[in-house]
Amino acid sequence: MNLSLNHFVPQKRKGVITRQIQGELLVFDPESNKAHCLNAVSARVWQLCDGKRTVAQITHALKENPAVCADDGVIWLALRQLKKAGLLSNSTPPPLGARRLSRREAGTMLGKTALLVVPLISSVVVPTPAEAASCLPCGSICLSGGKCCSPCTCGVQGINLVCL
Amino acid sequence: MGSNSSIRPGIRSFNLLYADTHLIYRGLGLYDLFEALESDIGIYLAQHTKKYLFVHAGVVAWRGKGIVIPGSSFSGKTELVRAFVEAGAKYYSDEFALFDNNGNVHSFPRPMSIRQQEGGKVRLAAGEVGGKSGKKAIPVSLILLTKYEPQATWSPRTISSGHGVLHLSAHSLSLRIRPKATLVAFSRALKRANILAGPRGDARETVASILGHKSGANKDAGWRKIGDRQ
Repeated sequence: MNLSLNHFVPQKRKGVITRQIQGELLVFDPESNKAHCLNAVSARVWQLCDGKRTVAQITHALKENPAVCADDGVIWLALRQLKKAGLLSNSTPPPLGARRLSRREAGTMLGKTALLVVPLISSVVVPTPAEAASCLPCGSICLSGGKCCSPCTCGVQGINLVCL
Repeated sequence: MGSNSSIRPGIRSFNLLYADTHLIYRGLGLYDLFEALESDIGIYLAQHTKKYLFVHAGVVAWRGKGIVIPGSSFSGKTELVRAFVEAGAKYYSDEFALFDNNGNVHSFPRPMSIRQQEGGKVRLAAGEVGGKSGKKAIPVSLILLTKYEPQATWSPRTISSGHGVLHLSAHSLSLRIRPKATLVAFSRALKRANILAGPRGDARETVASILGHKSGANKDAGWRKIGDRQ
């Protein structure tokens, strides 16, 4: 492993709202309006990204828990996923010397226990109230992001966007 | 609401609906205008009430416990709710699941809005399909993440509570407005609930499979398996 990579200090994003539920961590980001579900491994890595610990220290801290596979590749996979989800405030450096592990490779490598030890993050975009509600009947103004009920679609009528 | 009632040959009269100064409906159909009004009131309530957290979902109660069916429009929520009510479940809502801070679910008692094949909708109260409505707040025992697919048979997989919350979030009207309270309520609601996901075919067959009514052999076996986790 490249020494400089091991000295990288990842920092988790502030201003997000979290909630633990049965080993998983739910994170809502009010800036991007995305909700994320982190499995135990990615949640633990994210919690350790306190802006003080280096990647090497995070790996060391994770090794204290025998249930978690603290392989370098797994840690970097978690960091990449966290970055992609917008949950880190600094950019992860490209893993030049490090083994770049994909989620599939990690799963294959770790076999049946993969689900427990491979970092996984699922994300959804949280809709606006208008987007979440039932579709809009034909004739409704569809400016606020609501979807039009079939067979209508949102189109321009005069100066308005209307379900036509 | 305003209506252009001037009747002149060759001139069509549009119905207009405003929310404050915002035009929210302009069309010929009066029924659609009231649908738009109802939809707008629902969204307004979801945005302003502090007592409940709204999710776009159908809800029924079976043996005092809630079955919540979140989903987008045209996913077949109302059809499934109707099938549950016909099978003896109490009707709570076909539009919104109202969660309180403890994670219990409340009714949103408007008649079911049934889409008809020839277009348009009819409104049916629970009594009109041989069922009853429920009013009491109830704990959630089952979340169904499903969508109607013509060739599908109900063969669900169980998913984790965290992913269940994520699915509720994707249909929540409240999460952007009250994120902390919403996540707490969803987590409490799903802590002891089973979450089943997968496409479904016929609504009645799906309900029979879920409630364990299949062929009447072991009437409650299916429900005992999935509904009594608490």
